[in-house]
Amino acid sequence: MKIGSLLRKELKHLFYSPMAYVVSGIFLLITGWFFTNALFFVGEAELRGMMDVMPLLLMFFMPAITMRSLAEEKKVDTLQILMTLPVKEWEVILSKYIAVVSLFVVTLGFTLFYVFLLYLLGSPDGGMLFGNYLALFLLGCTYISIALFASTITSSQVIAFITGFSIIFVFFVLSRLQMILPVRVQSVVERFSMLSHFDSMLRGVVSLADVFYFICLNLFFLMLSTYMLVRRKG
Amino acid sequence: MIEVSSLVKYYGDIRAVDGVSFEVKKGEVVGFLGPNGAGKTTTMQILTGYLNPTSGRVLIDGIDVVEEPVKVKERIGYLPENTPLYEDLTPYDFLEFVASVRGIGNGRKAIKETAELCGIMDVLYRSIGTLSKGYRQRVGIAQAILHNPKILILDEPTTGLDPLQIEEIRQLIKELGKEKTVLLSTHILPEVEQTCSRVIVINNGKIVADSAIETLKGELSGTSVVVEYRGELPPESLSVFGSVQTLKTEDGLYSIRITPHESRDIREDVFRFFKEKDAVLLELYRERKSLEDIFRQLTEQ
Repeated sequence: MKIGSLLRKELKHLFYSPMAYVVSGIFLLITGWFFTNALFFVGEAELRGMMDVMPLLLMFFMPAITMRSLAEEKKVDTLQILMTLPVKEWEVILSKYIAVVSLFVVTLGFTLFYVFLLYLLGSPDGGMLFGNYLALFLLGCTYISIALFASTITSSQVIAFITGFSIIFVFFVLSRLQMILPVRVQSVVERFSMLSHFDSMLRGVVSLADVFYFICLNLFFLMLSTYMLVRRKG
Repeated sequence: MIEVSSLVKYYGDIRAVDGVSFEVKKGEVVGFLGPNGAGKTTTMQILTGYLNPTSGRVLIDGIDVVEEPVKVKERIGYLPENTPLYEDLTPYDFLEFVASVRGIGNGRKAIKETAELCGIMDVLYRSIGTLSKGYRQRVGIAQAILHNPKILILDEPTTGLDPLQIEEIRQLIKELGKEKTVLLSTHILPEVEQTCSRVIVINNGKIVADSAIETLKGELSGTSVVVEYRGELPPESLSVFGSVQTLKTEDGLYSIRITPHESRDIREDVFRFFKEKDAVLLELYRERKSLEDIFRQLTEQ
Protein backbone atom coordinates (compact mmCIF):
# COMPACT_ATOMS: atom_id res chain seq x y z
CA MET A 1 0.00 0.00 0.00
CA LYS A 2 1.49 3.31 -1.07
CA ILE A 3 -0.58 5.28 1.44
CA GLY A 4 0.84 3.08 4.20
CA SER A 5 4.44 3.69 3.07
CA LEU A 6 3.84 7.42 2.75
CA LEU A 7 2.14 7.53 6.13
CA ARG A 8 5.04 5.77 7.84
CA LYS A 9 7.42 8.39 6.47
CA GLU A 10 5.17 11.26 7.60
CA LEU A 11 4.89 9.80 11.08
CA LYS A 12 8.66 9.54 11.28
CA HIS A 13 8.99 13.22 10.36
CA LEU A 14 6.44 14.16 13.01
CA PHE A 15 7.73 12.04 15.84
CA TYR A 16 11.44 12.50 15.13
CA SER A 17 11.09 16.25 15.50
CA PRO A 18 10.84 17.93 18.89
CA MET A 19 7.98 20.02 17.54
CA ALA A 20 5.40 17.33 18.18
CA TYR A 21 6.41 16.89 21.80
CA VAL A 22 6.66 20.58 22.55
CA VAL A 23 3.30 21.44 21.03
CA SER A 24 1.51 18.45 22.53
CA GLY A 25 3.09 19.11 25.90
CA ILE A 26 1.97 22.72 25.99
CA PHE A 27 -1.46 21.69 24.81
CA LEU A 28 -1.83 19.22 27.68
CA LEU A 29 -0.50 21.76 30.14
CA ILE A 30 -3.08 24.36 29.16
CA THR A 31 -6.03 21.97 29.00
CA GLY A 32 -4.92 20.51 32.31
CA TRP A 33 -4.94 23.92 33.86
CA PHE A 34 -8.49 24.62 32.69
CA PHE A 35 -9.63 21.25 33.92
CA THR A 36 -8.09 21.46 37.38
CA ASN A 37 -9.23 25.06 37.65
CA ALA A 38 -12.82 23.94 37.39
CA LEU A 39 -12.15 20.98 39.63
CA PHE A 40 -10.47 22.69 42.57
CA PHE A 41 -11.55 26.30 42.51
CA VAL A 42 -15.09 25.99 41.25
CA GLY A 43 -15.57 22.51 42.66
CA GLU A 44 -17.16 21.11 39.55
CA ALA A 45 -16.18 17.76 38.15
CA GLU A 46 -16.86 18.43 34.51
CA LEU A 47 -15.14 19.12 31.22
CA ARG A 48 -17.11 22.24 30.39
CA GLY A 49 -14.28 24.66 31.17
CA MET A 50 -11.84 22.72 29.09
CA MET A 51 -14.25 22.30 26.23
CA ASP A 52 -14.96 26.00 26.09
CA VAL A 53 -11.35 26.93 25.40
CA MET A 54 -10.67 24.01 23.10
CA PRO A 55 -11.81 25.61 19.82
CA LEU A 56 -9.54 28.56 20.48
CA LEU A 57 -6.62 26.48 21.67
CA LEU A 58 -6.77 24.16 18.70
CA MET A 59 -6.86 27.17 16.44
CA PHE A 60 -3.23 27.73 17.38
CA PHE A 61 -2.10 24.17 17.86
CA MET A 62 -3.42 22.56 14.73
CA PRO A 63 -1.71 24.98 12.30
CA ALA A 64 1.44 24.65 14.41
CA ILE A 65 1.71 20.91 13.94
CA THR A 66 0.50 20.99 10.34
CA MET A 67 2.33 23.96 8.83
CA ARG A 68 5.47 21.94 8.14
CA SER A 69 3.76 19.25 6.06
CA LEU A 70 4.21 20.64 2.57
CA ALA A 71 5.86 24.00 3.13
CA GLU A 72 9.02 22.29 4.33
CA GLU A 73 9.09 19.81 1.43
CA LYS A 74 8.83 22.74 -0.94
CA LYS A 75 11.45 24.78 0.82
CA VAL A 76 14.17 22.12 0.88
CA ASP A 77 12.99 20.77 -2.48
CA THR A 78 12.35 17.23 -1.26
CA LEU A 79 9.03 17.67 -3.03
CA GLN A 80 11.02 16.79 -6.15
CA ILE A 81 11.94 13.46 -4.63
CA LEU A 82 8.44 12.83 -3.35
CA MET A 83 6.57 13.81 -6.51
CA THR A 84 8.84 11.85 -8.84
CA LEU A 85 8.06 8.67 -6.93
CA PRO A 86 5.17 6.73 -8.44
CA VAL A 87 2.54 8.28 -6.19
CA LYS A 88 -0.58 10.29 -6.88
CA GLU A 89 -1.16 13.75 -5.48
CA TRP A 90 -4.14 12.71 -3.38
CA GLU A 91 -2.12 9.92 -1.79
CA VAL A 92 0.49 12.42 -0.66
CA ILE A 93 -2.11 14.78 0.77
CA LEU A 94 -4.07 12.04 2.49
CA SER A 95 -0.98 10.51 4.10
CA LYS A 96 0.12 13.87 5.45
CA TYR A 97 -3.38 14.52 6.75
CA ILE A 98 -3.66 11.15 8.49
CA ALA A 99 -0.22 11.58 10.04
CA VAL A 100 -1.13 14.90 11.69
CA VAL A 101 -4.53 13.56 12.71
CA SER A 102 -2.73 10.65 14.40
CA LEU A 103 -0.60 13.04 16.41
CA PHE A 104 -3.74 14.94 17.36
CA VAL A 105 -5.53 11.76 18.43
CA VAL A 106 -2.58 10.69 20.57
CA THR A 107 -2.53 14.08 22.28
CA LEU A 108 -6.27 13.98 22.74
CA GLY A 109 -5.87 10.49 24.15
CA PHE A 110 -3.85 11.87 27.03
CA THR A 111 -6.71 14.11 28.06
CA LEU A 112 -8.76 10.98 28.68
CA PHE A 113 -6.97 11.01 32.01
CA TYR A 114 -9.24 13.91 33.00
CA VAL A 115 -12.24 11.80 32.03
CA PHE A 116 -10.89 9.03 34.20
CA LEU A 117 -10.68 11.52 37.09
CA LEU A 118 -14.25 12.58 36.44
CA TYR A 119 -15.44 9.01 36.80
CA LEU A 120 -13.43 8.72 39.99
CA LEU A 121 -14.95 11.82 41.51
CA GLY A 122 -18.49 11.71 40.24
CA SER A 123 -20.78 10.16 37.75
CA PRO A 124 -20.51 12.04 34.47
CA ASP A 125 -22.92 11.60 31.60
CA GLY A 126 -21.26 9.09 29.29
CA GLY A 127 -23.24 10.12 26.24
CA MET A 128 -22.31 13.72 26.72
CA LEU A 129 -18.63 12.89 27.09
CA PHE A 130 -18.74 10.88 23.92
CA GLY A 131 -20.39 13.80 22.14
CA ASN A 132 -17.75 16.15 23.49
CA TYR A 133 -14.88 14.03 22.28
CA LEU A 134 -16.45 13.38 18.91
CA ALA A 135 -16.95 17.12 18.52
CA LEU A 136 -13.34 17.80 19.49
CA PHE A 137 -12.07 15.17 17.11
CA LEU A 138 -14.09 16.48 14.19
CA LEU A 139 -13.18 20.08 14.92
CA GLY A 140 -9.49 19.22 15.20
CA CYS A 141 -9.54 17.27 11.93
CA THR A 142 -11.20 20.17 10.18
CA TYR A 143 -8.59 22.57 11.47
CA ILE A 144 -5.89 20.19 10.25
CA SER A 145 -7.35 19.96 6.76
CA ILE A 146 -7.48 23.76 6.57
CA ALA A 147 -3.93 24.12 7.88
CA LEU A 148 -2.78 21.48 5.41
CA PHE A 149 -4.27 23.49 2.58
CA ALA A 150 -2.44 26.56 3.88
CA SER A 151 0.77 24.55 3.82
CA THR A 152 0.31 23.71 0.13
CA ILE A 153 0.23 27.33 -0.99
CA THR A 154 3.60 28.45 0.35
CA SER A 155 7.12 27.30 1.09
CA SER A 156 7.26 29.31 4.29
CA GLN A 157 6.09 27.65 7.48
CA VAL A 158 5.32 31.01 9.04
CA ILE A 159 3.04 32.01 6.19
CA ALA A 160 1.45 28.55 6.28
CA PHE A 161 0.72 29.02 9.98
CA ILE A 162 -0.74 32.50 9.62
CA THR A 163 -2.83 31.59 6.58
CA GLY A 164 -4.14 28.45 8.24
CA PHE A 165 -4.97 30.32 11.40
CA SER A 166 -6.72 33.10 9.47
CA ILE A 167 -8.96 30.76 7.47
CA ILE A 168 -9.92 28.86 10.60
CA PHE A 169 -10.58 32.14 12.36
CA VAL A 170 -12.95 33.31 9.63
CA PHE A 171 -14.94 30.08 9.83
CA PHE A 172 -14.90 30.39 13.58
CA VAL A 173 -16.24 33.92 13.90
CA LEU A 174 -18.94 33.51 11.29
CA SER A 175 -21.48 32.92 14.07
CA ARG A 176 -20.45 36.12 15.82
CA LEU A 177 -20.53 37.99 12.58
CA GLN A 178 -24.11 37.13 11.80
CA MET A 179 -25.54 39.71 14.18
CA ILE A 180 -24.51 42.49 11.86
CA LEU A 181 -25.79 40.72 8.78
CA PRO A 182 -29.28 40.94 7.24
CA VAL A 183 -31.76 38.45 8.70
CA ARG A 184 -32.09 36.54 5.47
CA VAL A 185 -28.38 35.77 5.31
CA GLN A 186 -28.10 34.98 9.01
CA SER A 187 -29.37 31.44 8.86
CA VAL A 188 -27.12 30.62 5.93
CA VAL A 189 -24.07 31.98 7.69
CA GLU A 190 -25.07 30.12 10.82
CA ARG A 191 -24.91 26.89 8.87
CA PHE A 192 -21.36 27.56 7.78
CA SER A 193 -20.10 28.52 11.20
CA MET A 194 -17.99 25.88 12.87
CA LEU A 195 -18.81 27.13 16.31
CA SER A 196 -22.55 26.62 16.02
CA HIS A 197 -22.05 23.02 14.89
CA PHE A 198 -19.48 22.45 17.58
CA ASP A 199 -21.69 23.91 20.31
CA SER A 200 -24.65 21.80 19.39
CA MET A 201 -22.48 18.71 19.62
CA LEU A 202 -21.09 19.80 22.97
CA ARG A 203 -24.56 19.71 24.40
CA GLY A 204 -24.44 16.00 23.80
CA VAL A 205 -26.72 16.04 20.83
CA VAL A 206 -24.87 14.34 18.04
CA SER A 207 -26.88 15.08 14.94
CA LEU A 208 -25.98 13.65 11.60
CA ALA A 209 -26.11 17.13 10.09
CA ASP A 210 -23.30 18.34 12.36
CA VAL A 211 -21.10 15.34 11.63
CA PHE A 212 -21.83 15.69 7.93
CA TYR A 213 -20.87 19.37 8.05
CA PHE A 214 -17.43 18.63 9.45
CA ILE A 215 -16.80 15.73 7.11
CA CYS A 216 -17.71 17.92 4.14
CA LEU A 217 -15.37 20.67 5.24
CA ASN A 218 -12.56 18.13 5.63
CA LEU A 219 -13.17 16.69 2.19
CA PHE A 220 -13.37 20.12 0.66
CA PHE A 221 -10.01 21.24 2.01
CA LEU A 222 -8.34 17.92 1.26
CA MET A 223 -9.51 18.19 -2.31
CA LEU A 224 -8.39 21.78 -2.49
CA SER A 225 -4.96 20.76 -1.19
CA THR A 226 -4.73 18.00 -3.79
CA TYR A 227 -5.73 20.48 -6.45
CA MET A 228 -2.96 22.84 -5.36
CA LEU A 229 -0.45 20.02 -5.66
CA VAL A 230 -1.70 19.13 -9.14
CA ARG A 231 -1.73 22.77 -10.20
CA ARG A 232 1.89 23.17 -9.15
CA LYS A 233 2.92 21.06 -12.16
CA GLY A 234 1.83 23.97 -14.38
CA MET B 1 13.72 5.06 -24.61
CA ILE B 2 13.27 8.82 -24.25
CA GLU B 3 11.49 10.71 -27.00
CA VAL B 4 11.01 14.42 -26.66
CA SER B 5 9.25 16.42 -29.33
CA SER B 6 8.90 20.20 -29.53
CA LEU B 7 8.85 20.70 -25.81
CA VAL B 8 7.91 24.18 -24.62
CA LYS B 9 7.69 25.38 -21.05
CA TYR B 10 6.72 28.85 -19.91
CA TYR B 11 7.19 30.23 -16.43
CA GLY B 12 4.81 33.13 -16.60
CA ASP B 13 6.15 35.10 -19.54
CA ILE B 14 9.57 33.53 -19.50
CA ARG B 15 10.15 30.79 -22.01
CA ALA B 16 12.42 28.39 -20.14
CA VAL B 17 12.30 25.61 -22.72
CA ASP B 18 11.76 26.59 -26.32
CA GLY B 19 10.91 23.80 -28.74
CA VAL B 20 13.30 21.12 -27.59
CA SER B 21 13.28 17.80 -29.46
CA PHE B 22 15.64 14.89 -29.02
CA GLU B 23 15.75 11.18 -28.62
CA VAL B 24 17.78 8.94 -26.38
CA LYS B 25 18.11 5.31 -27.41
CA LYS B 26 18.32 2.33 -25.14
CA GLY B 27 21.70 1.96 -23.47
CA GLU B 28 22.97 5.41 -24.43
CA VAL B 29 24.68 7.69 -21.95
CA VAL B 30 23.83 11.19 -23.02
CA GLY B 31 25.22 14.39 -21.59
CA PHE B 32 22.91 17.33 -21.34
CA LEU B 33 25.15 20.33 -21.51
CA GLY B 34 24.49 24.02 -21.16
CA PRO B 35 25.22 27.12 -19.12
CA ASN B 36 23.28 27.73 -15.94
CA GLY B 37 19.72 28.73 -16.67
CA ALA B 38 19.70 27.17 -20.12
CA GLY B 39 16.68 25.01 -19.37
CA LYS B 40 18.38 21.72 -18.47
CA THR B 41 16.71 21.31 -15.11
CA THR B 42 13.28 22.31 -16.40
CA THR B 43 13.56 19.81 -19.24
CA MET B 44 14.55 17.07 -16.82
CA GLN B 45 11.72 17.96 -14.47
CA ILE B 46 9.30 17.55 -17.33
CA LEU B 47 10.83 14.21 -18.33
CA THR B 48 10.42 12.90 -14.80
CA GLY B 49 6.80 14.02 -14.55
CA TYR B 50 7.53 16.65 -11.91
CA LEU B 51 6.32 19.46 -14.15
CA ASN B 52 3.92 19.52 -17.06
CA PRO B 53 5.10 20.99 -20.35
CA THR B 54 3.24 24.00 -21.72
CA SER B 55 3.20 22.16 -25.03
CA GLY B 56 5.01 19.32 -26.69
CA ARG B 57 5.20 15.66 -25.93
CA VAL B 58 7.45 13.35 -23.93
CA LEU B 59 7.42 9.59 -24.35
CA ILE B 60 9.35 7.50 -21.86
CA ASP B 61 9.60 3.87 -22.90
CA GLY B 62 6.65 4.63 -25.19
CA ILE B 63 4.48 6.05 -22.40
CA ASP B 64 3.25 9.63 -22.40
CA VAL B 65 4.47 11.37 -19.27
CA VAL B 66 1.51 13.74 -19.00
CA GLU B 67 -1.11 11.05 -19.48
CA GLU B 68 0.39 8.36 -17.27
CA PRO B 69 2.86 10.01 -14.91
CA VAL B 70 2.83 7.19 -12.35
CA LYS B 71 3.81 4.57 -14.92
CA VAL B 72 6.62 6.78 -16.17
CA LYS B 73 7.86 7.45 -12.65
CA GLU B 74 8.06 3.72 -12.03
CA ARG B 75 10.54 3.42 -14.88
CA ILE B 76 12.76 6.37 -14.03
CA GLY B 77 15.37 6.95 -11.38
CA TYR B 78 15.87 10.66 -10.80
CA LEU B 79 18.48 12.62 -8.93
CA PRO B 80 17.27 16.22 -8.61
CA GLU B 81 19.65 19.16 -8.71
CA ASN B 82 21.37 19.90 -5.37
CA THR B 83 20.24 16.50 -4.07
CA PRO B 84 17.37 17.42 -1.78
CA LEU B 85 17.04 14.81 0.98
CA TYR B 86 15.06 14.33 4.17
CA GLU B 87 17.56 15.61 6.71
CA ASP B 88 15.83 14.10 9.72
CA LEU B 89 15.84 10.53 8.40
CA THR B 90 18.74 8.12 8.22
CA PRO B 91 19.78 6.86 4.77
CA TYR B 92 18.32 3.49 5.74
CA ASP B 93 14.96 4.97 6.73
CA PHE B 94 14.94 7.05 3.57
CA LEU B 95 15.82 4.16 1.27
CA GLU B 96 13.33 1.94 3.04
CA PHE B 97 10.66 4.55 2.36
CA VAL B 98 11.59 4.74 -1.31
CA ALA B 99 11.68 0.93 -1.54
CA SER B 100 8.24 0.53 -0.02
CA VAL B 101 6.64 3.27 -2.13
CA ARG B 102 8.17 1.74 -5.23
CA GLY B 103 6.87 -1.64 -4.14
CA ILE B 104 10.23 -3.40 -4.15
CA GLY B 105 9.60 -6.94 -2.94
CA ASN B 106 12.73 -7.60 -0.92
CA GLY B 107 13.46 -4.08 0.25
CA ARG B 108 16.13 -4.98 2.76
CA LYS B 109 18.18 -6.86 0.18
CA ALA B 110 17.80 -4.10 -2.42
CA ILE B 111 18.87 -1.47 0.11
CA LYS B 112 21.91 -3.46 1.13
CA GLU B 113 23.03 -4.09 -2.45
CA THR B 114 22.49 -0.50 -3.51
CA ALA B 115 24.19 0.84 -0.40
CA GLU B 116 27.21 -1.32 -1.14
CA LEU B 117 27.31 -0.23 -4.78
CA CYS B 118 27.13 3.43 -3.78
CA GLY B 119 29.50 3.06 -0.84
CA ILE B 120 27.21 4.31 1.92
CA MET B 121 27.23 1.23 4.17
CA ASP B 122 29.18 3.13 6.84
CA VAL B 123 26.65 5.91 7.19
CA LEU B 124 23.44 3.94 6.73
CA TYR B 125 22.23 4.63 10.26
CA ARG B 126 23.40 8.21 10.67
CA SER B 127 21.03 11.09 10.20
CA ILE B 128 21.25 12.44 6.65
CA GLY B 129 21.55 15.99 7.99
CA THR B 130 24.99 15.18 9.43
CA LEU B 131 26.44 13.65 6.26
CA SER B 132 29.09 15.24 4.07
CA LYS B 133 28.25 16.44 0.59
CA GLY B 134 29.87 13.38 -1.00
CA TYR B 135 27.84 10.97 1.06
CA ARG B 136 24.65 12.93 0.46
CA GLN B 137 25.25 12.68 -3.26
CA ARG B 138 25.68 8.94 -2.99
CA VAL B 139 22.50 8.64 -0.97
CA GLY B 140 20.77 10.60 -3.72
CA ILE B 141 22.12 8.26 -6.37
CA ALA B 142 21.23 5.22 -4.26
CA GLN B 143 17.68 6.50 -4.05
CA ALA B 144 17.56 6.85 -7.83
CA ILE B 145 18.86 3.37 -8.66
CA LEU B 146 17.23 1.43 -5.82
CA HIS B 147 14.48 0.00 -7.99
CA ASN B 148 16.86 -0.84 -10.82
CA PRO B 149 15.22 1.54 -13.30
CA LYS B 150 15.75 1.31 -17.03
CA ILE B 151 16.25 5.04 -17.26
CA LEU B 152 18.39 7.20 -15.06
CA ILE B 153 18.10 10.98 -15.07
CA LEU B 154 20.78 12.78 -13.10
CA ASP B 155 20.73 16.55 -12.69
CA GLU B 156 24.27 17.77 -12.08
CA PRO B 157 25.41 14.73 -10.13
CA THR B 158 28.88 16.06 -9.34
CA THR B 159 28.42 19.71 -8.38
CA GLY B 160 29.92 20.68 -5.08
CA LEU B 161 32.10 17.61 -4.73
CA ASP B 162 35.86 17.55 -4.35
CA PRO B 163 37.94 16.14 -7.25
CA LEU B 164 38.30 12.72 -5.66
CA GLN B 165 34.58 12.40 -5.04
CA ILE B 166 33.84 13.63 -8.55
CA GLU B 167 36.03 10.88 -9.96
CA GLU B 168 34.23 8.27 -7.84
CA ILE B 169 30.79 9.44 -8.85
CA ARG B 170 31.82 9.45 -12.50
CA GLN B 171 33.07 5.89 -12.22
CA LEU B 172 29.76 4.95 -10.64
CA ILE B 173 27.83 6.58 -13.45
CA LYS B 174 30.01 4.83 -16.03
CA GLU B 175 29.30 1.55 -14.31
CA LEU B 176 25.57 2.22 -14.31
CA GLY B 177 25.66 3.36 -17.92
CA LYS B 178 26.65 -0.13 -19.04
CA GLU B 179 23.13 -1.44 -18.57
CA LYS B 180 20.94 1.63 -18.28
CA THR B 181 19.88 4.54 -20.38
CA VAL B 182 21.35 7.59 -18.74
CA LEU B 183 20.67 11.27 -19.27
CA LEU B 184 22.87 13.48 -17.15
CA SER B 185 23.08 17.23 -17.08
CA THR B 186 26.18 19.18 -16.28
CA HIS B 187 28.01 22.36 -17.03
CA ILE B 188 31.35 20.70 -16.51
CA LEU B 189 32.73 19.74 -19.89
CA PRO B 190 35.33 17.10 -19.03
CA GLU B 191 32.55 15.19 -17.35
CA VAL B 192 30.76 14.80 -20.64
CA GLU B 193 33.94 13.76 -22.41
CA GLN B 194 34.59 11.14 -19.76
CA THR B 195 31.20 9.61 -19.18
CA CYS B 196 28.98 10.21 -22.18
CA SER B 197 28.82 8.82 -25.66
CA ARG B 198 26.66 11.61 -26.95
CA VAL B 199 26.11 15.21 -26.05
CA ILE B 200 23.16 17.53 -26.38
CA VAL B 201 24.03 21.19 -25.97
CA ILE B 202 21.25 23.48 -24.87
CA ASN B 203 21.30 27.26 -24.63
CA ASN B 204 18.47 29.71 -23.94
CA GLY B 205 16.00 26.84 -23.97
CA LYS B 206 17.02 25.66 -27.43
CA ILE B 207 19.14 22.77 -28.59
CA VAL B 208 22.23 24.09 -30.35
CA ALA B 209 23.99 20.79 -30.94
CA ASP B 210 23.18 17.12 -30.69
CA SER B 211 25.76 14.57 -31.78
CA ALA B 212 28.37 12.08 -30.71
CA ILE B 213 31.21 13.77 -28.90
CA GLU B 214 33.77 12.84 -31.56
CA THR B 215 31.56 14.13 -34.37
CA LEU B 216 30.97 17.33 -32.51
CA LYS B 217 34.67 17.86 -32.07
CA GLY B 218 35.32 16.99 -35.69
CA GLU B 219 32.60 19.24 -37.01
CA LEU B 220 33.64 22.23 -35.08
CA SER B 221 37.35 21.82 -34.86
CA GLY B 222 39.03 23.72 -37.64
CA THR B 223 41.63 22.40 -40.03
CA SER B 224 44.37 24.55 -38.57
CA VAL B 225 47.78 22.95 -38.33
CA VAL B 226 50.53 23.82 -35.90
CA VAL B 227 54.15 23.30 -36.96
CA GLU B 228 57.23 23.65 -34.88
CA TYR B 229 60.56 23.69 -36.62
CA ARG B 230 64.17 24.80 -36.35
CA GLY B 231 66.02 26.51 -39.11
CA GLU B 232 66.38 29.47 -41.37
CA LEU B 233 63.01 29.13 -43.00
CA PRO B 234 61.07 32.39 -42.64
CA PRO B 235 57.49 31.84 -41.41
CA GLU B 236 56.14 33.89 -44.32
CA SER B 237 57.21 31.19 -46.74
CA LEU B 238 54.54 28.96 -45.25
CA SER B 239 51.80 31.30 -46.41
CA VAL B 240 51.45 29.21 -49.56
CA PHE B 241 49.21 26.91 -47.48
CA GLY B 242 47.05 29.58 -45.92
CA SER B 243 47.16 32.36 -43.40
CA VAL B 244 50.08 32.18 -41.05
CA GLN B 245 50.22 33.12 -37.42
CA THR B 246 53.40 33.04 -35.40
CA LEU B 247 52.83 31.58 -31.96
CA LYS B 248 56.37 31.57 -30.67
CA THR B 249 59.90 32.29 -31.86
CA GLU B 250 62.91 31.51 -29.76
CA ASP B 251 66.55 30.90 -30.76
CA GLY B 252 65.67 29.81 -34.24
CA LEU B 253 62.81 27.75 -32.96
CA TYR B 254 59.51 28.60 -34.60
CA SER B 255 56.01 27.65 -33.65
CA ILE B 256 53.55 28.54 -36.38
CA ARG B 257 49.82 28.07 -36.84
CA ILE B 258 48.65 27.67 -40.42
CA THR B 259 44.98 28.05 -41.19
CA PRO B 260 44.25 26.86 -44.74
CA HIS B 261 41.93 28.98 -46.86
CA GLU B 262 39.78 26.06 -47.93
CA SER B 263 39.02 23.34 -45.45
CA ARG B 264 41.23 20.35 -46.21
CA ASP B 265 43.94 18.38 -44.49
CA ILE B 266 47.25 20.07 -45.35
CA ARG B 267 49.53 18.03 -43.11
CA GLU B 268 50.92 15.92 -45.90
CA ASP B 269 51.70 18.93 -48.08
CA VAL B 270 53.41 20.68 -45.19
CA PHE B 271 55.56 17.65 -44.52
CA ARG B 272 56.65 17.43 -48.19
CA PHE B 273 57.35 21.16 -48.18
CA PHE B 274 59.74 20.79 -45.25
CA LYS B 275 61.38 17.75 -46.80
CA GLU B 276 62.02 19.68 -49.99
CA LYS B 277 63.54 22.60 -48.11
CA ASP B 278 65.52 20.21 -45.96
CA ALA B 279 64.32 21.98 -42.82
CA VAL B 280 64.08 20.33 -39.41
CA LEU B 281 60.47 19.67 -38.57
CA LEU B 282 60.06 19.07 -34.85
CA GLU B 283 56.34 18.87 -34.54
CA LEU B 284 53.32 18.84 -36.84
CA TYR B 285 49.78 18.39 -35.63
CA ARG B 286 46.24 19.37 -36.42
CA GLU B 287 44.94 21.70 -33.80
CA ARG B 288 42.08 20.16 -31.82
CA LYS B 289 39.58 22.36 -30.17
CA SER B 290 38.72 21.42 -26.66
CA LEU B 291 35.13 20.92 -25.73
CA GLU B 292 35.39 24.24 -23.94
CA ASP B 293 36.05 26.06 -27.18
CA ILE B 294 33.26 24.25 -28.94
CA PHE B 295 30.91 24.99 -26.10
CA ARG B 296 31.80 28.66 -26.14
CA GLN B 297 31.38 28.78 -29.89
CA LEU B 298 27.95 27.16 -29.68
CA THR B 299 26.55 29.16 -26.83
CA GLU B 300 27.87 32.54 -27.88
CA GLN B 301 25.56 32.83 -30.85
